[in-house]
Amino acid sequence: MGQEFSRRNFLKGGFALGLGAATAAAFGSLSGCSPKTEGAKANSVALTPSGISYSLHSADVIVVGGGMAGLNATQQASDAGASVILVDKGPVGHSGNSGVLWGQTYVTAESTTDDGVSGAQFLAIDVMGILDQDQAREVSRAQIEAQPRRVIEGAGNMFQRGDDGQVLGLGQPTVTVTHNTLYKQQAQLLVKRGIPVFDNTMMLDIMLDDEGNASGIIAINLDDGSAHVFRGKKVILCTGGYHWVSRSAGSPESTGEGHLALLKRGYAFKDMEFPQYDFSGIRPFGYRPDKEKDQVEIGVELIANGEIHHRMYNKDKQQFTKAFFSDPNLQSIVAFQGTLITAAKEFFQGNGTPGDGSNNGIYFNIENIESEPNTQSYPTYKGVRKYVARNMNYQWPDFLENIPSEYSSCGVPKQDPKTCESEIPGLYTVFVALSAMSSMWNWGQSYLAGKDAASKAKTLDYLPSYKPEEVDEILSKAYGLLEANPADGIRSLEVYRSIQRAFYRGQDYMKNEDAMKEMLTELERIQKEDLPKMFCQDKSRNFNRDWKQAMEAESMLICSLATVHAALERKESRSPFFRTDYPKMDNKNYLCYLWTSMGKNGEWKVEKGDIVDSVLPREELLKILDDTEDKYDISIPNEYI
Amino acid sequence: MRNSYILHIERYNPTIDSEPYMTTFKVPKKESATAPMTALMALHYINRFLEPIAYEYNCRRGSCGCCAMMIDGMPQLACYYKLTHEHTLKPLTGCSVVRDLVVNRKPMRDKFVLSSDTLNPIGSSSILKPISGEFWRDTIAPINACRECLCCYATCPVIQVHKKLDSFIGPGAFQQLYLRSINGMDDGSSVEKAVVEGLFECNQCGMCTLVCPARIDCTRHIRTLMEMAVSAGLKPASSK
Ligand SMILES: Cc1cc2nc3c(=O)[nH]c(=O)nc-3n(C[C@H](O)[C@H](O)[C@H](O)COP(=O)(O)OP(=O)(O)OC[C@H]3O[C@@H](n4cnc5c(N)ncnc54)[C@H](O)[C@@H]3O)c2cc1C
Repeated sequence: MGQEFSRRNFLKGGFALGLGAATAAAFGSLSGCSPKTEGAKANSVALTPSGISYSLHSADVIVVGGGMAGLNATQQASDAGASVILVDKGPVGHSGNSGVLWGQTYVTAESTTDDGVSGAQFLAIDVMGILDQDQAREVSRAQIEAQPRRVIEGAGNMFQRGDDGQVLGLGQPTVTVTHNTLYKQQAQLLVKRGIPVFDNTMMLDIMLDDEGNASGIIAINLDDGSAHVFRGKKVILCTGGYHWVSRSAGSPESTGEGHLALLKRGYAFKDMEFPQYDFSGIRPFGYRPDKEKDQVEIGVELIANGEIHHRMYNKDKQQFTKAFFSDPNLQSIVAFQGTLITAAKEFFQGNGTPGDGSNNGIYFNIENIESEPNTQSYPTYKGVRKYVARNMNYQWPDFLENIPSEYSSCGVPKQDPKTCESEIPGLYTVFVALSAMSSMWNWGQSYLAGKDAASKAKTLDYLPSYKPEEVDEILSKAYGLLEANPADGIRSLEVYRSIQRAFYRGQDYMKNEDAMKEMLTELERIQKEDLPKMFCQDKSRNFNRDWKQAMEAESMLICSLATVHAALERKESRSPFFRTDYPKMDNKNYLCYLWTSMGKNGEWKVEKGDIVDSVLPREELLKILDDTEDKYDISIPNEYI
Repeated sequence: MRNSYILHIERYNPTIDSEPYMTTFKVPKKESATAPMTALMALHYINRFLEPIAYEYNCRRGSCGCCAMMIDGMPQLACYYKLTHEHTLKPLTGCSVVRDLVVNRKPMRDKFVLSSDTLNPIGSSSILKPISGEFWRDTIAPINACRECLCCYATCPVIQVHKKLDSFIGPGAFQQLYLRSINGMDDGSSVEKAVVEGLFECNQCGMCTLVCPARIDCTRHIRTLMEMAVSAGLKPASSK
C-alpha cells in the first residue's frame, strides 16, 4: 500500500480523508484492548522510498508524552470529541517526571474568583519576575474553569487532611495539596475509555505538510524496534524537559526530543539558561544523585515549605536558612527561591558539604522529624527513617547530606498563551515551564492545548499530508545508529555520559564563565568527533537501551548547547540561576527573557526580549524584587541567628 | 569484608533465545556513609561495564514502580533493595518477558484499570468530609503512594498458585476499591464491585502486605472490604 502513497495522494481531501474515516472505524473496535499486549494496532503498513516498513496510524489529535501534561491533554481532547492517540516513550502512567513524582504538592488557583489575576500574580513572583504573565493568567483561568481538585477527589483520591481533619488549605486563594494521584487515575481511565495508547514508543521527529502545518510524528517502538508514523490533524508535544542531561532528580525519558523538533527548525526558546533546582529526593524514601548519573544514592527529601527549611545546615552543621525565613517580607514572597538563594550564599562562602565533589552539598537535619505536626504539606517524610530501616535494613543518622538536583529543565518556545499553539501551525507545546509550581502549569496548559486542538481538528475535514521521503530519512538514521560499526567507535552510553559530564561541568549550581566555556568547547568536540563515531554494543531491536540512548544523544546535545549559549549571556544571578562571577541580581539589564535559537549551519543566537508583565507590571515587580537588597546578592554571607 | 557482590541474573531475549538462561556477574562494592548499594546500582554497573542487559527503571527511589523484579525469590523494587553479598535476579513472576528483566505488566495493570471509576468532579470542595489526620497519614497516604509495581500480584497465591487472575482483580486493585469505599462519597458500589471481582477468593495469607514497598496494609484493607460486604449481605453463598 505504502509505495502507492504518492505526494499527490496526500494532498488535501481525496485519499487522506478516506484514510481518516477508516481509522475512526478501526478505533471503535480497538476500545478496551491495549496496543502493548496486542502488538501495536496498525491501520496499515507502508514502505518508505528506500523500503523501510512502518505502521501507519491516524487520529484527529496525536499527543506525544504520557506524563501529567500528556494525559491531561489527551483527556481534554477526548472529552471535546476528538479521536486521540497517545504516544509515550515509557510505560504510560509510570514514565517521565510524573512517574517519578506520583503525588507531590499540587498548587491550584481554582478557588480564586478574580479571573486568574491573583493566581497569575502568585506565579509571577515565583521565579523572580521571569514568568510570562499572560500565560500564568491563562493557566489560572484554566484551573478555575476545570477545578482540577474537584476532579481529583471525584476520581476517588483523597487530599491530605490536617490534624483537625479538614482538607489542608481548603478555602485559601491558592492552595498547595499533597498527593496528586490524578496522574494514576487519568492513566487508568484513558485506557478504560479505549483511547489507543502506544507506550514504549519514542518520537524521533514531528512531520509537517507542504504548507508547514504539523501533520504527525515519526516514532520507534522500543520493545520491538518497529517503526510507526502517526498522522494527525493536530499534534500536542508534552515531552517534558531535557533535564536527564543534568544532575537530575527527574526521569531518564526527559531527553528533549520535543525541544529538538523545534530547535532544529530554527525556532527560539526562552528560559533555556534556567535550571529548576530543589534539594530534593522524594517521599517516601528520598534519594540523591551521583555524578555518574545512574549510580543514585539514597538521600532524603528536603521540604520546600515553611518551617522545614530550618532543617538546612552547612558543612559546619550551622543552621543557615533561619535568617532568610525570619524576614516576613521575603517569606511571603519567594519562600522557595529563598531556600535556593541562602544555599547559594553558603556555597559561595565555601560552606557547602563535599557533595559529589562539587562542594555544593548541604546537611539536612532529620532530628526529631518523627514528631512534626501533621499540618505540613508533606506528612509521610515523618516516617522516612522508619521506611529506610524497613526497606533497606539501614539506620539513618540525624545529619544527611543532600545535593541540589534539577527536578526539571525549562525552556519553552513562543506560543499563544490562550492555546499553547506554537509558531508551527497545528503544533501545540506543553513543555515544563520555568516555575516551582510546575504541575500547575502542566495541568493548565495541557487543558488549553487539548481543548483547542480538538476544536480546531473538528474544522479540518482532511488529514494534512506528510512526506514519505522525510520519514525515510529519519528512520534510516535511527536504524543506521543501531547497525553502525565505525572504526574507533564509541559506545552510545559513553557518548551520552560525556554529554552529561560536560553539562555538569558548566551548569553546576554555582556557574561561572570559565566552566561554561569549557562546557561549550567539550560539547562542540562531542558533536564533531564523538557523535559520528557512536555505535550500539547491543544490536538487538528488542528493548535495547544502547539504541535508545544513541537516538537520544543528539537532542541532549542540542539542548545542552542552547542552555550554555543562553547561560553565558545571562550575566547576573537570578535564583535559581547562580553565577559566582556575577553574584548580584541585575534587574536593569536582565529582567528580560533570553530567546535562544539555532541557525541552519548550527550557529547560535541569543536575543533579549521584554518580559510579559500584564498582571504585575514591571514597576511593581521591581519594588518586590529590589536588587539592591543584600539578601539577593549571593556574595553577601548569610547571617546566622 | 568481601569487596564485591555476586549477582546471578536470568536472561532471555525471546526473539533469539529458545529459553531463559542464567548469567553470573561480579560487581565491585560501592557504598557510602549514608547510602548502601542497591540492586539497581549493580544493574547499572553491569550494563555499563560488563555486558548490556535489559531492565526498566525510572525514579531510582521507590516511587514509580518500574523496577519491580524477583530478588532472591521475593518481589522487590531493585532501586530499594540493599545488596548484601550474593543474589539472584529474575523477572517478575507471572508476567511474560519482553527481554531479560523487562516484563509486560499490562495484563496485571489492566486490573487497576478495571477498578478505576470516573473523572467526574465532585460538586464542591465543601462536601469533603473531615477525616482524622492520623488516619489520613497512616492509611490513606500509603494507598495514594501505590505505584502499581505489582509486587503484590507476583506473590499472591490466588493469582500465582491458583491461577485465578481472570476472576480475581488482585490485591493492588482492591486497595483502590477500599479507598473509594471509605472516601465518604461512595454509595456502596465499590464493595459490590469488590465482591464481583473475587473479593472472597482472598485467603488473607498476608503476603501482599509483606511485600508492599509503599507499606500499604493490603491484607487488612481487603479484610475490611470483606466485613463491609458481609454486613451488606453481599457475601456469596458459595464462599467459605
Ligand atoms: C523529584 C521531583 C519532585 C517534584 N515535585 C514537584 C512538586 O512538588 N510540585 C510540582 O508542581 N511539580 C513537582 N515536580 C515537577 C513535576 O513532576 C513535573 O513538572 C511534571 O511531572 C511534568 O509533567 P510533564 O507531563 O510535563 O512531563 P513528564 O512527566 O516528564 O512527561 C513527559 C513524558 O513524555 C514522554 N516522552 C519524552 N520524550 C519522548 C519522546 N521522544 N517520544 C515519546 N514520548 C516522550 C516521557 O516518557 C514522559 O511520559 C517534581 C519533579 C521531580 C522530579
